[in-house]
Amino acid sequence: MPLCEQIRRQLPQYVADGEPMLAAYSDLREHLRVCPFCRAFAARLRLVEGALRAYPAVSPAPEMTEEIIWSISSESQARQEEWHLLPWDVWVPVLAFVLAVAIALMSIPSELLSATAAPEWGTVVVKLPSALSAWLGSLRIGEGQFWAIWIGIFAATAGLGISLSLSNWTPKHSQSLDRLETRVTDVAARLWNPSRRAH
Amino acid sequence: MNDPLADLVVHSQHGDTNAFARLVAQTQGGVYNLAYNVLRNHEDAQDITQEIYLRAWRALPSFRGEAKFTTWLYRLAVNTCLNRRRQLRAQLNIVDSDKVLQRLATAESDPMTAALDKERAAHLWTAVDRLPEKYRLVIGLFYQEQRSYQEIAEILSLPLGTVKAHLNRAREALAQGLGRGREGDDAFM
Repeated sequence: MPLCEQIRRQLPQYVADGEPMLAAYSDLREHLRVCPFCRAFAARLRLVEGALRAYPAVSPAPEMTEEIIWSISSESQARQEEWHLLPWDVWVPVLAFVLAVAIALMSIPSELLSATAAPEWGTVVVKLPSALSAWLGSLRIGEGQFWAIWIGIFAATAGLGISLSLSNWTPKHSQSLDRLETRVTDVAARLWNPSRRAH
Repeated sequence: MNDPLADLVVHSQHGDTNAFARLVAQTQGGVYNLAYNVLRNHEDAQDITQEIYLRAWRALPSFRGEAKFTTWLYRLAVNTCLNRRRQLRAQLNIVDSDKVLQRLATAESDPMTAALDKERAAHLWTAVDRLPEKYRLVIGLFYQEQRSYQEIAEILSLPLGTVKAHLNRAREALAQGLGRGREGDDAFM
């Protein structure tokens, strides 16, 4: 590579660094002393450097902060409302499912909870009111059968509701779930690593 | 990491919009300038700046303070602006590559007849506007935002050497454009 070309490659950094008197640049300085072309190039680089250091930044409109905060507040409010007023096609099936699970758990025969006694199906932990028991008796329906029908109704409602929810699923629902996941992950990470709570 | 904005960041992470407003006020000049350096249009820069802060607000809970807040914010800003730029380029079929830099260096640009430094500087700033965006970005971050080479490397996800090389290539091209037709002329030194 010709010497002038080599020097010209080093010159931008040399000028930008304030032309330091380092021994590493002694050849460069010597070349500038004898080469008018490279000296002229160095002079132009100084002009460039000076102009760039004075390169004015553009400024945003003064009301921009206000606009940004307004849009953030609107979004936060919309998000809160979204969580306060969950659509019926989300909370109905969820509630039905939770109730079905709760009732199923309550319907476990009490003998199953005892390790010694043999299980006897149809006996439930929760006792029905006597009036209801009498009415079921008149219909020849045992308590076990009643609970089975009850759970079936709830499970069917939950299944129907979940199917409806999935058929109405939109990207908005996915975003809500993503946000929930982010929050849960964040809280879990903070709990997991207390040293990071400050951040 | 000793970040002067750390307190405001922590409050913002807990949903304090007043703290976030102060963060915006302290950083929006740099973000807007960066957006303008990429998009070259005030209206687009304003829109994208709003979008950047909305994204920052949403992503703030995931900020762990491993880098300075401004480095994190500028990285987000660069990615958002470059994405927008790519969309615009696809729509307008804008050509923007190193060839532009080459053209700038070899073009028969107007000779600088004005003696005043101010005019020379204005000529140079116009020339900066014609640089490809990757060079405009590093120039903006280095000279206007006074970021270190290391910070620029982190913001742009580039090796340190590449940042220096981009800056030097831009300086070289500007100096060559400035001196076209003036080879050997030491009069304006």
